[in-house]
Amino acid sequence: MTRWIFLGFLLIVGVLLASMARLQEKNDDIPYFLRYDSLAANSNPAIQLEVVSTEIPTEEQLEKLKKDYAAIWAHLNELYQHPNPKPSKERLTERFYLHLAKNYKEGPSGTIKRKNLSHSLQVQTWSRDGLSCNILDQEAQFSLEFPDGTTENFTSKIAISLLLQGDNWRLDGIRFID
Amino acid sequence: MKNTSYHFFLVLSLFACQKVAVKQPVFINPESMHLTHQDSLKFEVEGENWAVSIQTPVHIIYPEFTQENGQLTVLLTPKEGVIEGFAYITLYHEDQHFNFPIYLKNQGSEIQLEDLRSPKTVNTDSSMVQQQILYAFDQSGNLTEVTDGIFFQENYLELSPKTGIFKGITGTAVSSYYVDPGTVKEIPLSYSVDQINQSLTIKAGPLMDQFQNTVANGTLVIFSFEKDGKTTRLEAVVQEAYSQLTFPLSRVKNANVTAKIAHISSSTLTLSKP
Repeated sequence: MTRWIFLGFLLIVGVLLASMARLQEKNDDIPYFLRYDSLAANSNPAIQLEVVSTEIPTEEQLEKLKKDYAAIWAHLNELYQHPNPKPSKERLTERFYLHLAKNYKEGPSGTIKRKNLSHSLQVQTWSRDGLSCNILDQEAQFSLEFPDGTTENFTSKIAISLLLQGDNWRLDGIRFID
Repeated sequence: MKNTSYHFFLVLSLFACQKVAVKQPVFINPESMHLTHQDSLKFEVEGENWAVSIQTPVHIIYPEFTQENGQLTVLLTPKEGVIEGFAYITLYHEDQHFNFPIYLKNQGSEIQLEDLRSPKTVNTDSSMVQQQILYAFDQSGNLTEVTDGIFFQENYLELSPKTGIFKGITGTAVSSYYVDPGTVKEIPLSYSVDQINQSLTIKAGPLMDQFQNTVANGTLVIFSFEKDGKTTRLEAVVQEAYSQLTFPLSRVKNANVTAKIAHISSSTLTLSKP
């Protein structure tokens, strides 16, 4: 008799644990610091940097800026072809992300691929707290690859505003000047 | 005869399966610039079931379009405008696609100015010079010139040593900055006796910094009592410019009291009268 009571108790505990496991919300979102940003890792444009701001950043800060700037362009190139802004969320400020998210509609991938080849950055302003910087990309070189295999290179002057939020620099505003 | 008919039918079937290539669409209104929410892009097309995308300088969008009598009209009505600049519009028809370069610009966007301050919190003990960085952008995130040809402006502002929470010229939460009071300049000490309750209250204050701002609430005040060669230390905090302690009258009679905040000390007060 005792054996049956014990087995019954085990069964109740088992059912309870199983139901608790089912109730638990499944969250597949990996924390940001554990995510591997393959787009950023595979981007390696040539970046020249000149500082003209009154506040001078340290070498370490400039290295981080270069790395994050390349990552931002890797994501912008991805967005150029694919509409979903969510994978690029961590590279954009909330304000900029919302602009893209509100325009988001599913659809076929773009037929033209864009690649950034090189940048010539001029740091125009650098905040004393190191949380904001404004850049003029004097000569951003891009390559467009068309579906027929042809490519076309072009150069643009770009003004960019970045904010350091979380662990990295994020795009807050952009202007293709010419 | 039967064989010939069979082959003829097979060849016909093959031709029926083959997709017919459509002619390259003709861009009817290739202007030097197209404004969102105003202009539409018109194409002369063959066949039905077209799809359209626009690769703007930053992201790809799928605009609304209509097709009527061989003319495809693409409406530039994105909810949030676009990042302005050179773009490509692509027309898809089954496996075929046709790209056309265009230049996009937003129509009548509202401009917002950003005013970032650094440091955000200034203490009247330290430098009152604050860095101001200004930049402006439209609703879609396009930077716009702050002044002619200048996208970013940097100023150094001398703040008034008046404590409070202030908003920058844009009035937004992001532009807010704070001026905190500095260290107390002097500590006036006084006391009062409550004969009914037989108690004595020692009061330090009003506690002001060098610019007559009230010292921050919660600032630690250390009161030292010296009586019969024995020193006792008691702690209190500043509340609305004052810090006070109350004792039974008998305990503090003839005691010498001093108060200290950081490195600033009051003069000694002798509780001789009670």
